[in-house]
Amino acid sequence: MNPIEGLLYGLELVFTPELLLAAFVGAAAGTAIGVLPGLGPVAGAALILPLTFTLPPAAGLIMIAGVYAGSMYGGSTTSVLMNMPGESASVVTAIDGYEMTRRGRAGPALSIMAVGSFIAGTVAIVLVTLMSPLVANIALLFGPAEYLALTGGGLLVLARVAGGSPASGYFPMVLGIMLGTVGVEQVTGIFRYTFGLQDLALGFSLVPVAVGLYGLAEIFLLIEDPDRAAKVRSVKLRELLPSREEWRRAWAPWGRGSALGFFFGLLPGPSATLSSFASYRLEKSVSKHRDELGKGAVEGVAGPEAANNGAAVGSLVPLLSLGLPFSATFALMLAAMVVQGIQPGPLLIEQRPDIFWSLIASMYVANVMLLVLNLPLVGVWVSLLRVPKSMLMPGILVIAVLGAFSTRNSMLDVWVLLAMGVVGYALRKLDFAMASLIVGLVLGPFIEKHFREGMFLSRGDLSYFLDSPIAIGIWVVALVVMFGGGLWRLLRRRLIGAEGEKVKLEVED
Amino acid sequence: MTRQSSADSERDARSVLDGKRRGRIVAGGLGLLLGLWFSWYTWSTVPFGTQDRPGAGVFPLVVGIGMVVVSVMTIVEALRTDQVSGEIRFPTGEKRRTVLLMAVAMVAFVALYQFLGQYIASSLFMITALAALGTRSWVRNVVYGTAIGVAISAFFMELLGVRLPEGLLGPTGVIGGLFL
Amino acid sequence: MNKHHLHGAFAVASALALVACGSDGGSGGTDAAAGEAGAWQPNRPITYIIPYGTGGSTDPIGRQFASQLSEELGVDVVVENREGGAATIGTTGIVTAQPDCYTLGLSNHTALANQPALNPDLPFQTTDDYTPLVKLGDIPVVLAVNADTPWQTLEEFLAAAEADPNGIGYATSGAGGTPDTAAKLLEIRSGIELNRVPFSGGGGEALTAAVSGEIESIGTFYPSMQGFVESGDLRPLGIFYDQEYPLLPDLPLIGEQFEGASMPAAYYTIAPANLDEECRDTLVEVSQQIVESEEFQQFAEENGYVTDPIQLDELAAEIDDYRPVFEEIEGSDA
Repeated sequence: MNPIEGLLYGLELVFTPELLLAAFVGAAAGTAIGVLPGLGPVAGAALILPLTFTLPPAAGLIMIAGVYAGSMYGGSTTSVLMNMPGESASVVTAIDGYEMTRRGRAGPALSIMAVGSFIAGTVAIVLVTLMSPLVANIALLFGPAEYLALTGGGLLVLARVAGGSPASGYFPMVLGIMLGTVGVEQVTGIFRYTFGLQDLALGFSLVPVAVGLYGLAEIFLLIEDPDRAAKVRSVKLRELLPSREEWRRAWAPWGRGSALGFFFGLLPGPSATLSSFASYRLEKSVSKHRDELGKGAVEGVAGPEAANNGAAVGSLVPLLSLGLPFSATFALMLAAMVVQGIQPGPLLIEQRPDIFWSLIASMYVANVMLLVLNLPLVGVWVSLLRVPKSMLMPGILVIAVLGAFSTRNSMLDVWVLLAMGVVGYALRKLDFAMASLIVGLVLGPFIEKHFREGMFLSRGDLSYFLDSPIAIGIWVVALVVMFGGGLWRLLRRRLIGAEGEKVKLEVED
Repeated sequence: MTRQSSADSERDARSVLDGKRRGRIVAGGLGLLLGLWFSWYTWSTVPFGTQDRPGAGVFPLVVGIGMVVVSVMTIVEALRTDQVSGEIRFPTGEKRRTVLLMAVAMVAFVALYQFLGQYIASSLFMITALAALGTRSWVRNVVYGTAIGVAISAFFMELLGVRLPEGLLGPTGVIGGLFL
Repeated sequence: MNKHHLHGAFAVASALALVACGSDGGSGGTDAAAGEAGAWQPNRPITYIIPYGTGGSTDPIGRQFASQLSEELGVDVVVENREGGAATIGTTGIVTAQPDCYTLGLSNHTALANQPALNPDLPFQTTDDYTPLVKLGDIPVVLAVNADTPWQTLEEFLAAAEADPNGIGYATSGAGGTPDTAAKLLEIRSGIELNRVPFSGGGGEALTAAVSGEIESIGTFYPSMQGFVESGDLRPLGIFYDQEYPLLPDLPLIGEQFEGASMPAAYYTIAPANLDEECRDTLVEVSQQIVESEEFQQFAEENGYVTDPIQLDELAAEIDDYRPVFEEIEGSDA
């Protein structure tokens, strides 16, 4: 069956009242879980997993797909409303999303996210359909050298993703990488920097770090300066929907983010997170309104949100074609499939096209459900901001604490949450970019791991890392992105002469 | 220390080391100490392996040195440029009291979390927080605080089935144990 | 049950709802099964600690046991995942729990036989420090090579490895994991030397590297490589095991060819030491019934496990037998 027939066949299988209901329940539960700080896609899928065992295979899987998409969206909702990312893929959304909220544009930001997620899902589905035979094995082209290029190059490019002075980006980034080295080292299993604390062996988990750094710090800043708080004028429909101008500005970032996310999704590693950051970075380079990014620009919400959804669909390809789950949520999805007697692997597309295509279709249906569910809910979320601050803020703190605890049943994570709240407060007072810290924490361990795997594999030969055209290509792109903008401006200034551009000590981008 | 270094600054108009620049110098200094300590600790305790099989210490050592470099960079940037500047505003008076009270309540909440358990700890925290942030009516604070604390806890523990500390109410706790 | 009415409002809610939403999904028809086995009858949910992450490759066997335990005892069994520290964190959680039969959990041979030698602070130094309830099963490591490599048999592979020490790459899911230890044991016994490359990422990256030909060979559990064996990308050559492995009955057993080079991953259910005799006997009886049950056997077969429900002293002896093997392996590193 060719891909288009396949997709149609899959959609036909999925469009039954029962499966649509499963998708709806999944999306609703996922959104509800994702909205709670500290509980993200993994927690959501883990909570729903036992329930799916009792359902027929298709319904169970579609429900997990719904939970995944829903909790990603929910996590971003709190990013926008309270500057509290529910998971790492929502960190970058907080930058402009929360600024929009403070300017009273929370409704439009949420609408743009919901529509953007849907569009990204659509774009990614089209790409999967057209390209699945071609891209199925792309993960096999990537060995340690290519991953090192991707993660190392990514680090260089993203260090200053949130803008600001050079030290504002690099200082927290290296701090993040340092936090990432704590715990059992991944390649040889050696304990380091644990100081006898058993719990520290697992390292710093991302949820308490992100929630502490952003959420906790934000709440204390709100307490000392109530004027910081978001302005909620009204929840009238007109105020909730994006203006014509905002719609117009969202289109291009949606498209770029969707495609970018899809391609990141094909690769193992933290693809949802990486793609959301990369999309923000891309917008900073190419968007017409790049100067407004960081001050509440629509592009900063539309791009990353489309990207992390595109990545979610893209990740289905290696999961199904190689049977390799590249993230915790997908490991849960794989567990669900195995329980249902489906063993994903290289032969799945050939032997069980019905399952392959119905899974792709179910991801799509989950996206549709998300839109159906969340557009009407935008008003509800926005009115959350009207809950009296004296109740909302401590309530969020309570949820943050239990969320941090529940991820790993560890008290240490709760203390990490507190400590990161203090760090976040201090960094914020001093204008450091916290997104860079998250970038370092996410990418640092991958860089070390891939570097050492490559050294082991090549028996100590450093040239191994530049032995592959893909690796070289990625490094070149990273360097161009890092220095290209500056060189271009320098060149232009040479040619046209210094035209009223603000002279800065450092080359921007 | 900072007063002397301000004299070194080249542009006199901008040579005033304001709060943020001073703060970043302090942050850079702390980062420098952290980087030096981290590098030393890595060097002396974590195995380095061989070129063929690099050990767990190689990457962290690079990171430690990197920390030293970015810390120096932060200090130099703050000393010599005014890319980041301005005064840091800390709350005063009533606001400072509220912030400190909330911080203490938060630490107490976490410290007693496992012992008291989710229900009791979160209700007590909510009551304290409402008193610190809201009105002065204790009856209202106790009623609202308990209601919100219990509602949140019940939602997670009972509806979502999340495992959280049961503390005093659990089967091994003082109160819960009485009823088994 | 009346006693519950004396509780504060939330404690009642808590008890009821834990019964209602205890995570395991296996609670259908529990009343019918209640009271069947043994004299001890639990009256509140039992916690089953799994020292690995949710959804990991080792999670399912623990959940399978927990769900059947719930059916047998007629109470909910709540699974709690406490990952990390090479399973020592979760194992510590089990061993240090109240010995009231309401906390038990999964552990394995490396955590119980190897880790105590490496870390004298662990609270489970000997088999007296816990109750070894039942062995759930072994899962042997299979050695496979990329299909494009010239080696068709184990002999050819070993000859090539002998001719070129440290020349053949062998991918594992991490240093110190069972596939890595199994290969170390083979190296000690046969005198060959492989370039053991530890990947991480739940074994997926090791598999990717072997399938793409980035590395020549891989050691992993059969279910995860099965798809690639069937598609012809990987060729299995031998099993690091000394008993027949039903999934691959024709492959040579490395543990037979080289005395003692058998190193499967072995999973046990353990409980704290000093259990009350009545409840201990019940748990011993019930856990054996579970492992022997048709449902568990079918699960084991589908997931590549070889079951062997030894218990208590016999199980303690198996754990103790692993200690010198691990010491030898650790010793060879120095």
